[in-house]
Amino acid sequence: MIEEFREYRRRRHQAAIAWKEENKGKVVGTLCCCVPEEIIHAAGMLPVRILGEHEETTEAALHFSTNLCPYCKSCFDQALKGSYDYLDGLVIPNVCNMVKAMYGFSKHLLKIPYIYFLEVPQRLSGNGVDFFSKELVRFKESLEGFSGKEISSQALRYSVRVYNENRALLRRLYDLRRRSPPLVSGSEAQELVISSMLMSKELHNWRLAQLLERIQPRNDEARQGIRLFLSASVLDDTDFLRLIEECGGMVVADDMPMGSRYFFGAVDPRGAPLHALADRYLNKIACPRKMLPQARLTFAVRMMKDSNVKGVIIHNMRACDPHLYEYPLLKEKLESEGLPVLFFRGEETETEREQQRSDIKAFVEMLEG
Amino acid sequence: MNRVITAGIDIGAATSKAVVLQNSHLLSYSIIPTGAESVTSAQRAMDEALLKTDKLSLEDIRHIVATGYGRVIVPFANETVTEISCHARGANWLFPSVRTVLDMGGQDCKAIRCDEQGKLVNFVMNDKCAAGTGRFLEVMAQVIGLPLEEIGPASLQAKEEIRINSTCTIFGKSEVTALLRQGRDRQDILAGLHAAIVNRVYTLLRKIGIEPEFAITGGIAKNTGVVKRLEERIGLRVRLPEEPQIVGALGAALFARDRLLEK
Amino acid sequence: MVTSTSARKALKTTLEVPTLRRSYYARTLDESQKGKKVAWCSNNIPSEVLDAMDVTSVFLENYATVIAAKRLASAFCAAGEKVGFSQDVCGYARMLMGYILARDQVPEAPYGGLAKPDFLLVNSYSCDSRLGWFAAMSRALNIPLHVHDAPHQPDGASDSAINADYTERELRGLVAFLEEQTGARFNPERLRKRLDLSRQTSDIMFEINELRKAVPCPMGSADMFTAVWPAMYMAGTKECEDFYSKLRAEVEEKIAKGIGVVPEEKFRLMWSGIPFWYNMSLLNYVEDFGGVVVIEGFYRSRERRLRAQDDDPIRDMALSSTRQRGWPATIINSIDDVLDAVKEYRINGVVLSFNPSCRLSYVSQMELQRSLEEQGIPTLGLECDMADERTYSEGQVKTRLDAFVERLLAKA
Repeated sequence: MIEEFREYRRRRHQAAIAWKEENKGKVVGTLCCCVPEEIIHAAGMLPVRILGEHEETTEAALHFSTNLCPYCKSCFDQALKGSYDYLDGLVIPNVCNMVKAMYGFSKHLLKIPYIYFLEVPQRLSGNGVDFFSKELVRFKESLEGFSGKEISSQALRYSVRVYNENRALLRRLYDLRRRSPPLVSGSEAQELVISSMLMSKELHNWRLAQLLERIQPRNDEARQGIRLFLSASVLDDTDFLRLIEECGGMVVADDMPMGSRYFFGAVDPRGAPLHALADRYLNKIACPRKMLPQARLTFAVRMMKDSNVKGVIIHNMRACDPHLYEYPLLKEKLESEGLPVLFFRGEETETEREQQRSDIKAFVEMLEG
Repeated sequence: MNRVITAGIDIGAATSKAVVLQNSHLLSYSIIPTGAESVTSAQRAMDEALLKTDKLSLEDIRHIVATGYGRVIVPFANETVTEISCHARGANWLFPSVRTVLDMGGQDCKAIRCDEQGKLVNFVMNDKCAAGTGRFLEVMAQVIGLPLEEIGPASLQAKEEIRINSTCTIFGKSEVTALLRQGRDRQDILAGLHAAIVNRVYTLLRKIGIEPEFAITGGIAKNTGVVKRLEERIGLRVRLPEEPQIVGALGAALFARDRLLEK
Repeated sequence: MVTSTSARKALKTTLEVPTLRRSYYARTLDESQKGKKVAWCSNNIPSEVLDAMDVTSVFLENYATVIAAKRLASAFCAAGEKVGFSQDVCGYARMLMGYILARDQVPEAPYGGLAKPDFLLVNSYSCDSRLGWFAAMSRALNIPLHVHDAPHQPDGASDSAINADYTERELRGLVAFLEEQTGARFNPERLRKRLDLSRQTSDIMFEINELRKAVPCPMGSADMFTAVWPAMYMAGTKECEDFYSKLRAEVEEKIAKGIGVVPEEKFRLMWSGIPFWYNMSLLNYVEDFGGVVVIEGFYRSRERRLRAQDDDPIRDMALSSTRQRGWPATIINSIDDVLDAVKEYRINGVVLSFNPSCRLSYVSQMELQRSLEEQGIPTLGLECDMADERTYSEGQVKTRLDAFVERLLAKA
């Protein structure tokens, strides 16, 4: 049953184009899970998470040096290669030097009709939510200008409900991973989360609900692996999760954008929609981007301990500043709490598979012993 | 008869080359290993090249230009010019229609653009990462167990090109070792390695643009595996010097002559 | 490996900077001992506000460049890497984390070390990577971190009342934080005085940069990379203003007498990106060939500052910073910025430094270089870290510079 979700992701470009034709609508891409997709959805457009490919970035290599975020570079490479020619819009949030740069680069080198820079503040409470609410008003008005249609409050409330439903379903999915052994593997869970970022939410809700009804405890040994937590920056390389499973490990919980960070924390359905969205997207996503140094560390460690895992794998993309700065003290804290850590530095093409395999195997053996 | 004799000395990390030019005629050249001391190797290269002439000595040479990474320490040189300009000048002199030159030695890789007179127009270098230089192939030849001169032709006999994922020489080594252990065919692995290095080189060339005609200098010109694949990739016939390693020294000798003619 | 360090200065006034800097750091240590609160700050934290509240500000990025200039950066970087900070992250950050967490593994820090901080201040605009760095320091030192936020405004200046309002609230939040930390009350008048002085100094710097357009160039980047220091770290002080007045006078004198950095200019260059702090003599390298690095991209004062936008100094700062931006925030603006400078300063070629660990500048350099070449402007890329001299190879750098000179002279 999971195959259909995997297949959608593989054929995501054709699927988006088909959606455009069927719905006579626009497709708007995002580069980070802090963009309030509900507003795009309420505008009748399809929000999609931009993804790269795990291949050599031969076109982007002419515009970007090497020590830069492989994810952004790969996304841009795909755009230069024409994979995203169908994209009508792109929303770029204020999250890190590389993503910020994508705004100018997209305007400079790509032919996307609508490109919006979303001012996401660092201030989380009070003034921050207030500012972000006003920014979301500006964003909404900008989308209205692009679509030529008003986005009603009612439409926003509806979108919030649809998205909250998806979050609830994904949380149920993640609950199934808490069992011993988990009912869904780490790689399967990621396929389901990533497909949510690509499919129309209503469709995903329907299909995921059906899937959850039908999931039964399975007796295959594949799910017997040693329980692990995965903390990562942008890791959409599901083969990496499969590799962990091949090596006798099983990721049962995670803290990463292509995972729990996408859907944890619902939007408050009461009150003004844009304000509720501002609050949820600022305050309910756990991410090193949030400048609460002690709180973030405490939260991350508690999340890992609560997951009943034997060890933690940390996978950070090269040049990913928010995560790389957090790593040393996070590792120290985890180890002092009795949780061994295995670290990987990610590249755009996963070139060191064999090395990863032997490192993970050794880690698993150590945890078993 | 007015004989203008000039010389060019190219001191590279691995080899030192000397070229003796009489007017526009290549009189002689030498290629020797640089060894531990660049100063003495400069002298030896010069001496060897002179020996091959009709009793010329150092005093007969009116102007000497030194190039290469050891250029500043050649005691008998009158001036220095970078190997970048020298390769452009030398390649363009050998093939006057050449406007783009790729020079790949053991240590670095340069993509060079020149004008119709061989003057330097633009260049880009990779001197940081071994994976885009001759060193990559040297290392892999060792791992595979073939002499360096054989890997190019062997790569062209592959039945299948095995994709090499590693972008780095160190990881490439372990990847190749693993493939050999799996019993994969040496030629197929070499095909993948040559494709990988050509990818890197092609990106470097694209950074300055490829204007025909295109020449390859340096040791890599002798590797048919690289040359053929590059030709296919670029869609141009490659001009290959008969003696690709002396192009830098040749360019230096030509600059020496230019200097005299200016005066 | 590196054969020389400091740049040869064309102006006498520039030579006063090391003394100013030394006394600045000595003063911070002294004030700290006398019980003043010390804030470790990132660049662009408005020191005028801290001065107005008697908080001692210590700017870390500059201290890192001092360590680099004293050829100690590699040891500090290595120590930071040893405690787990990736080689990918900012060299300044690695050095400071090494200093904080591995003191026994680093050489003696310059000027007697940094004054012990009571809290940390980092701002979110311009460079984003610093946020992670300051969060790491907050954890390591167990002291409060205040983030000073502002809208990014990638398209440049904005009239948005929403942006100005948020910026103002952030400034008031900064003041409130400082009041809480010091127990002192904010005095707007003290800030007003400093802002006025800051503006005056800015105007002088702008004028100096206009004067540098002259042929022959009277003051190049070899001087300005040092001479920019007081404006960055002593803004709003009389000392700072006096320094730049003196500097301007000296530049005017050079112009009056027709004295250039090089007597006969064969080519004029621009330096884009951060220079290599451990070898600033590279900025003089082309002078032997008749070239001069006339102007720089980073830290450049591009236009006259806006006049006061409001009587209330906090509101004034908020409106000024949203209505006028100090640096190009997108690749498009960066390209235009260099094209403008090429025209105004009669530039023949641009040297771009690719500093792998400075994400802010590094992200644009390749495209900037490609775009400039597309416009027919000769460029040279030098890939070395700005602080970590392990990435520097003298032979490679000089070969590239030599070849670039050959290219420029062949064109002439």
